Amino acid sequence: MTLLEPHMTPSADDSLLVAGPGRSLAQDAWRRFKRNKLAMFGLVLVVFLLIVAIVGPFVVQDPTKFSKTVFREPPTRQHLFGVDHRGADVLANVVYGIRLSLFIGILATILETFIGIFIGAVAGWFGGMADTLSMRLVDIMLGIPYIILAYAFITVLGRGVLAVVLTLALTAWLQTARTVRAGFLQAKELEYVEAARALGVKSWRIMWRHILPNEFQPVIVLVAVGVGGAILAEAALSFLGVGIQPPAPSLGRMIADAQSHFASAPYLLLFPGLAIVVTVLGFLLVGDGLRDALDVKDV
Amino acid sequence: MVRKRRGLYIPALLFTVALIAAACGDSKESSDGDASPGDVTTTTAARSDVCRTLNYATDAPVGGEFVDYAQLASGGDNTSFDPQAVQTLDESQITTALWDGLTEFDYTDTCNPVLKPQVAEKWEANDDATEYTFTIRKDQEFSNGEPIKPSNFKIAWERGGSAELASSYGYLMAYVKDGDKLLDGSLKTLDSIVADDDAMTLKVTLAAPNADFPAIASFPLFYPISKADYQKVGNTTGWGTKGITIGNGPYKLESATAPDSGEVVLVRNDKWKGGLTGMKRPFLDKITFKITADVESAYQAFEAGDGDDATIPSGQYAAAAAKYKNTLKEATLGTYFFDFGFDDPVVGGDKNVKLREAISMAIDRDEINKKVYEGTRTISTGITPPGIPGFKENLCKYCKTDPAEAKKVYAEWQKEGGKLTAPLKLSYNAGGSHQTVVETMQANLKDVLGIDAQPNPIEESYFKVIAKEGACQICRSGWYADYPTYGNFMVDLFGKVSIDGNNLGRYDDAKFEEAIAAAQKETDDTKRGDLYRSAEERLLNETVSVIPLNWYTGDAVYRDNIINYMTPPLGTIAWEHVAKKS
Amino acid sequence: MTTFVIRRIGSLLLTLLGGYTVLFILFFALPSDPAEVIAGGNGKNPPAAVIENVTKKYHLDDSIPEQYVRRLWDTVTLGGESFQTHEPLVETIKTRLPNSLRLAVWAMLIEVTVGISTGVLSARRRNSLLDTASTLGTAVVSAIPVFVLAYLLRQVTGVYAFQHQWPEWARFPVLSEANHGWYLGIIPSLDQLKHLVQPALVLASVSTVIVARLTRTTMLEAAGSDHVRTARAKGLRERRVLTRHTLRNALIPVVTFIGIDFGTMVGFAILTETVFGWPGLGSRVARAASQSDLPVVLTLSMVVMAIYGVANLIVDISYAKLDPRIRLGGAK
Repeated sequence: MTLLEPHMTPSADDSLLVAGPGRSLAQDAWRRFKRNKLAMFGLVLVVFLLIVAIVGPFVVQDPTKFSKTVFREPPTRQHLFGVDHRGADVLANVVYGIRLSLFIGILATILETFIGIFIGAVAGWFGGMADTLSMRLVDIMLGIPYIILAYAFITVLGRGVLAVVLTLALTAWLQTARTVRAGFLQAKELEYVEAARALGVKSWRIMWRHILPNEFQPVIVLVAVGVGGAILAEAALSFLGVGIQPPAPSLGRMIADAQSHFASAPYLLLFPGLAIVVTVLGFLLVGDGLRDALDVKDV
Repeated sequence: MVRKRRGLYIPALLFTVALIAAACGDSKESSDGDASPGDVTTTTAARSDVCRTLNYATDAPVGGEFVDYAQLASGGDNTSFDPQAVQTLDESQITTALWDGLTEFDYTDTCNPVLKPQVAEKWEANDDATEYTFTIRKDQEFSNGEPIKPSNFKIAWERGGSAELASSYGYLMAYVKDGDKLLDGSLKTLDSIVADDDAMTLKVTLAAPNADFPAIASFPLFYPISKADYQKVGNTTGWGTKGITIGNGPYKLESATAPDSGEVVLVRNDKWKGGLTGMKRPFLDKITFKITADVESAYQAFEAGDGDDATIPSGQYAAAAAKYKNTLKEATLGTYFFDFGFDDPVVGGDKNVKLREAISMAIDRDEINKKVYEGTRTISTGITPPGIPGFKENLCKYCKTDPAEAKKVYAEWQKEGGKLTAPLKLSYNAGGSHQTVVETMQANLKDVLGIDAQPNPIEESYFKVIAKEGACQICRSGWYADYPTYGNFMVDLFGKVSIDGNNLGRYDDAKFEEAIAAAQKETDDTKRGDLYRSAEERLLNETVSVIPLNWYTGDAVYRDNIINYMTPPLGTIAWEHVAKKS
Repeated sequence: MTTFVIRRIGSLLLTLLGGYTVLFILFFALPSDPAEVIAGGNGKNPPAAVIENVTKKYHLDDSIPEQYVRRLWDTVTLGGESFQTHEPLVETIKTRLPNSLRLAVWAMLIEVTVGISTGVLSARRRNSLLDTASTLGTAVVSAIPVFVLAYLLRQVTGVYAFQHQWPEWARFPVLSEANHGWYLGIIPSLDQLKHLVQPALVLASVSTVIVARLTRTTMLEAAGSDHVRTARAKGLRERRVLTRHTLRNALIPVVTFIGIDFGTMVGFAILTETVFGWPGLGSRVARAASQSDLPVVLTLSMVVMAIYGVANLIVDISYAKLDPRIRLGGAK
């Protein structure tokens, strides 16, 4: 398995993206990113979705307002995406669904990244028992079928939005931890780190100020891809009926509910389905673009 | 009985036969939304649909294989079609094809089901309905050639009530004297059941008078079992041959795969001696019940040309009715409703009667019927559905949808000091169409009364969770009759004995109890009906403890070349009549 | 070499024990009473006496450590039965494991052929329209939720095809049947093939995308490497350079990925198996989890983890053999 870890090129520059603007590496990366049409397309999608998520709710109708007389209606001028079986506007529900998906995806990924960095850094830097135990845990959790693991966590944590975020985070930090650990293992041997050690700089400070910034490139790529993955995972859990509970507007659940209406009302499935695809696609393309731009090797 | 549907469980409960629809995404439909929108409130789409005559063609072609996609469409939930263990309507479709009971109902006139002897020749009761003697017909045998004797019933019944088997319907044995001791394991056999194999009589002493016992004896738990089979399986059970499989019905079991995928195959039982409608031999050679993961994919398979029947998923009634032959207009003995928690501090008790009246009248039953069931169900005017002997229409005073009246009553309740401080909790088993029902109710309560309500979906073991003390404030329930008696609705859904079981609201009213106790003792059919009806009126109009919404209709589609595919009131198809033109 | 293998096996066993422990803890923390599951089946309320009988019969009143050991023994020996259906687990595994393997094998074939050829083509025509299209295409495929893909596939090739009378060869059955029609246990009959195509495609979709991208990347890297440049400089024909030098080097990580992925597909195809009703291990274990059917969850998860672990082990060992730079015997 180790073979598959993104292996990174440690850079001599000791503060990449973190240490503020104007540094050439970041600029280089951005220049390369801009040249990549697909990546830019992905970025446009992500920005567009963020705008939808922020501005959308002020524009669309109330997603929980049910019409008594109009339901299961194909798209019209008042209801651009149609009306669902309850009498609610599909566009409004899709917009709120995108907002919730982004919220969950981003928050879960941030949490997951922190957990992963922390465990990976400790394992890589201190080695020994800490390393053995945490990497063993990673192996174990990777071996358990994902859905079963998520199911177990979600049943323990509950079905609220935050519980789902926590479940996604607790099941997703594994790759980040491995990547960060690998980086730390290599960095430990580098001269400047050894120098800092010799000077008596505290471990935490070396880790935080000197090594971590160098490890950020692969982590950034993992974050972008991770958001897409978290959104897909949430949709899958909701589809299986163990995700977010109504009335929260989950795209996965909208799709599950729409299946039985497909023959007579395909728009109930197509619009939320497209929303998921576009959202995930945006993050994947950005992730790919970053990978190329930052020259992080593929997994 | 409970009907299974994707992920949703229904409680099983009471007597067996019927629970079908309740649980899940059931529904029905008809192409033209026949519940006339105008007077929703009162009733009834079409009484004529409710009272039907089941005329089975007798000259249908013999032979052919029928492939069913309707009954086992929730594969992972299958547990058993063993007569003493079966607990869902879907699985009991196999059980009833494999067995015949002591007694059986003749539904030729669906509103006047007639109880007839089947394996029994006749039965006699003593004066106070505590002792029954069934005389068994002499020429009967099981599909393995073993003769059917009274002792085959005795071992079956004792098995059904045994602690080891722990059958969902084991509680039915509590009607028999000392049956409760079987259930708690302190007895293994009952002296109150006397089987005389020479005289071919089976004599049963009951724990309390019960005039409905011969009807209850039509339930699968009371089917006879072969001794050879019993020796093999004993008081354990499981899917297929892990349970009892040798029967005396029109079909016999050929093979069964694992419970959650594959199929169950039945073939004609040549040892069958004929049924009560005069059938001597089933038409079909073979019935294959396909096990599928959920109703949606089974229906998709039907749409792609596979199989001969399927259950229509909610949302496709109108579309399905336009394309296929269907049972959407065939009323069944099922009822869909919400319970109020009897002791709930917010909505329960005498002081909140007006609140309950207001809530019931604020709910737009027509809107629910149209949105969720595409107008295919019958809006109910009480709990007990038409077709049950003793039924009367428009029993319920507060089942009409009347926003003005609801507002008025609600204002009165507020004036008397009533006040809601937190959103009401509308509990339901997550998934399927219930969510839409609850969301509609939530919107109705907000629009009409300004009351906030919160959907409370319960993912697993809904009926267990909600039956616990204090769990139900307003909670969904549904019931399919196990056998067509009024008591099956009143006692099983609202009787004190069903608390912790199907009495989800934990309804416990002294006057109601008095009325049902009197009814159980009454041997005169008309008087018994009157007594049960007075109990229901107490429930609906004085204590206002329930919100009836609708009565079920069939929800299957079948191919044009299928003959005699009808849904009798209890939902179990008469497989011996079903035939297929090649 | 032997030491290396022994160490890896020891480590695999430790991982399995850890997985068992994690699942045991999580599922015992679940708010469900196993006795009710056993006694109750679908949502009924068994009398207290029945619950008590069941609790005793299944030793559910033992202390947690005792239960941990007992269930571990059952898991290792594949003993025990489902709480829900009472089906012995050995039988469940016997019928379902072959189905999972069949699906995984065929999905892997798709992954290998489509994935590698797309990757090679993309790499050879870097930045061409084909390259961009395949990059975008692969991204789109991995962005579509499996359940949407599956549903649409069935709707088009099943329902729509039937109702519009497409020719027989273009129609595919909606539901899976994996229990008949296999030659030598793995080659499908024509009829079975039709049941297999859609789940195999869906299962392979994401992996294929990864293989395609991985192939493209490693090809590009290998093409830039010294010995390939040398080969070209020596005047070798392009095709020969490609097959003998570039591909050979590029494929090592790809093959590694595929090997591990096979282990994943056997047991992790939960969504695919569930939506198609494919009777493999994944759909069974998902159902069991939702029913708190502990023995099924534990035992099947362990089988799946073991397969995944063994696949990893084989890949590691063969990789070590292939690449002399990796030293065996436990060097760091």
